[in-house]
Amino acid sequence: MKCHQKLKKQSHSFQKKSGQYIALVGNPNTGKSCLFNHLTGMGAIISNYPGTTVDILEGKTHIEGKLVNIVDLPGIYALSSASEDEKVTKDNITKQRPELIINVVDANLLERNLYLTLQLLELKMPMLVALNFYEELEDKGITVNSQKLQSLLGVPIVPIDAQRGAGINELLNTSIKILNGKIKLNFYNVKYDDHIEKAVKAISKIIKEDKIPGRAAALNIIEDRDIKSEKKSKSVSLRKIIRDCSKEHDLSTEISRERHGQAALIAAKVTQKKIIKKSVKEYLDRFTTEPFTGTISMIIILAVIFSALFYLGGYLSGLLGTLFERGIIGPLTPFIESIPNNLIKTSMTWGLEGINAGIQIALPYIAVFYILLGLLEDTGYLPRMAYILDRLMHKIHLHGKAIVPMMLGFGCTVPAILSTRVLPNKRERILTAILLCLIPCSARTAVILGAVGKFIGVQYALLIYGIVLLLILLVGYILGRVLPGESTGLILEMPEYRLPYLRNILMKTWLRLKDFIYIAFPLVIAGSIILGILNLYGLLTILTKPFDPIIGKWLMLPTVAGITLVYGILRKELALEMLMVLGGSNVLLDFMSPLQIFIFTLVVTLYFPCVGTFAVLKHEFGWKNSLLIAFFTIILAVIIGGLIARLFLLVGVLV
Amino acid sequence: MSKSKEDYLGEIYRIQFSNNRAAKITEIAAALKISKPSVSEMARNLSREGLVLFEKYGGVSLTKEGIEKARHILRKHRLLEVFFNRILKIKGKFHLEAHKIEHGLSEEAADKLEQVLNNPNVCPDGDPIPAKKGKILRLTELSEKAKASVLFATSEEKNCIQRLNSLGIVPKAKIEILRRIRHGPLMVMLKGREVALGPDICSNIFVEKDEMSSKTKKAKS
Repeated sequence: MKCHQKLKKQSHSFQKKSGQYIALVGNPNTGKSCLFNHLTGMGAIISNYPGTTVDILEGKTHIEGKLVNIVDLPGIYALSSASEDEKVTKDNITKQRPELIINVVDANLLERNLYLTLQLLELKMPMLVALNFYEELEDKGITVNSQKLQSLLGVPIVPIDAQRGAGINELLNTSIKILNGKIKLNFYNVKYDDHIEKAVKAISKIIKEDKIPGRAAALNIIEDRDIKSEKKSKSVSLRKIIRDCSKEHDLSTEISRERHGQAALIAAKVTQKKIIKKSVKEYLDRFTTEPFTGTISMIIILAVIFSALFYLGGYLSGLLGTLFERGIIGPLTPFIESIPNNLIKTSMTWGLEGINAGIQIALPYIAVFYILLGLLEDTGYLPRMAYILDRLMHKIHLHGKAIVPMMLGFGCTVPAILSTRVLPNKRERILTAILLCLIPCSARTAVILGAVGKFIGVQYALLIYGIVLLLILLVGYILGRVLPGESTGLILEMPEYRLPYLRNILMKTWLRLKDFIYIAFPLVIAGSIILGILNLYGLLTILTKPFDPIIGKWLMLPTVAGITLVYGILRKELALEMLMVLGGSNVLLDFMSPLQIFIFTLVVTLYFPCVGTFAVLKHEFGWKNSLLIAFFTIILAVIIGGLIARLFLLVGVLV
Repeated sequence: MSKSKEDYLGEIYRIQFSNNRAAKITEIAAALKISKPSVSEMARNLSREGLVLFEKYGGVSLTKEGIEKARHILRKHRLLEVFFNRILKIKGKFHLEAHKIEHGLSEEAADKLEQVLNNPNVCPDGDPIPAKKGKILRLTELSEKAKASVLFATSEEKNCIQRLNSLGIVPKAKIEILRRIRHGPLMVMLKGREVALGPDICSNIFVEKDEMSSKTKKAKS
């Protein structure tokens, strides 16, 4: 499993240390993380769909010799607490109080983006607006007068191109001027209808808020309907004020309506539009979201991904393996043979075997998958897939939005579970997380393709995916009925289709592979050496014996396979690598029957979702839930593994 | 039209548009408290009259004519509910009371009632009152390419409304249906960007069709 680097940044708020803080705030998918990378030189993962960043990312930069901290916050449509990621961003702005807010705005969607801008202005915190995707406007025949916008809003507006890095210098210069108090800011103030203003005034009188202006705090209380957290006596009077001032609609809806209205007004004042003909993007968009063509294109895309993984990954795997055996193992063998000390000799032979297995199994499949995922992410296709699959997802009591974490889950379960934060409630998050533990991540795909695909045939690899998919649907269906509550339903913005940047895809792939190389390889080598030593002193049989009833009798696997399953807890693909090391051959068929290979792979795919996943489950959902999930997957793996083995024997498949 | 036929249409309408899918025989039977075979029989009758589409395993869905009829009945029913609840202050049993006399209420009387009640939008349960000329529609009742203005949205969850609000689904907002998947989500254009909305959410967004194309009250089931 990759991307453990995410774990290091899991804090729900940034801790102010030395230096000044600049927070990047904006709607989802406006290029905040891209700007963050430019400002800090760091590598945050950026993609073309809303909700890529669900964590707080912190970095540093120097402006005029001064150290400044940059904080990238998850994208939000409004300062509210409607979902986990929105709450995180809101709390970090209002409670941590950065010295400057850079509001990143998508110039293409000025009206919609200005809604959040107006809400941020109500906080009266030092702020500037970075107008991103400014260069895309021209193709669409739109012009935005940033000077006029600046005078209307009362804060500096800087057009930027976060992808290419244009306008960044001016952004930094303006930032430092604001930080040094050299620019006077006049915050635009939304004036609401009389009955709303009356409620705001009354509420701001009875609440105590020192961090944000009373007016903003009062609006916030009405909009969030967050009355329960107040003291009893207060909440009664708050309710009364809201009730007395309400008219036709709910007060919070009316606030929202008026803010939208003023955003539209401002946007209309500064924008000019020429009508131009439909672009290729629009045809492509239509094609991929019409029910029929959309389903067909989705199936084709998934088929291409799978065949690329199988054939390209398989080809690379063979190539790397041959290179390693001829180039490294071959020349080294005479040298190792000549070592007199048995312990060192064993360690070296087994260690090399481990590296060989690692290179052949994990690296090619995982790298190929991440490049393909990068393409899907950066074009903006993923949310369309969520739309097409919404109906199917309803059958397992989820909705389309859960597709995005699930597709990420084919890469690595850890960031996928973190990305469930964009889902609207806890029930959906847990349900999705449980299913995510069953989805074959790229490490498990490496095992499926590297063992079953390579030695038994592609159709059996597909059969494993089929079985897993069926289990996911079944578990989802049952859990959806058992877990209390209803799913809220799909609300998902479609990003514009964009041409992916190769540089970004390669960088992302490297970021996601880095952990594999730095964490997995040492593990593989150490693990192999330990196995080698255990074997040398004849300890292996003693250790594996107690598990024999399950491993040998029920699952009908070689007894030694038990110990490799323990390794799989550390990282999934380790199980296969260690199996090859233990079996003393990279050709599994030398020491296992096809049925055993199939069952082994199925069990590896299903059981305990690796330490990294367990840690993130614990962090997001607590000990009880994570232990339950882990326990559940182990039981499921053992039961299904044994049943399938018997079924195959009975029917005569793979025997 | 016999009394029970009207009840069927009303019930199918309710199920179809609050879930955006065909009504199942079991659901109709449970709601009207009658046996499944008699529901099936009635469904076949209605289907023969061209009021519903009846697929053995897919369930029952109203045709355009069926929708028109059902809206008529529901309008009377819900206006009466408002009357019993608001004017006569009958709590709880207003539904039953309305049920008893809705079938006898004439068109003229219903119009007068609406006037007296000051053109209410929703019944005491929060369901929309269909207008005589199709004033309020659920978003799910609109066909592709239709443009509409949002009237209001309802939801059990407060977060959902807040989310819709921040995206721009507020009263009077313009919304355009781009594409839809049968019994599935809708793709709408909202403030210059496409947004996918699930069927359950759409059926709780109430809209008014824009005048340009409002001559045909077409609803896809």
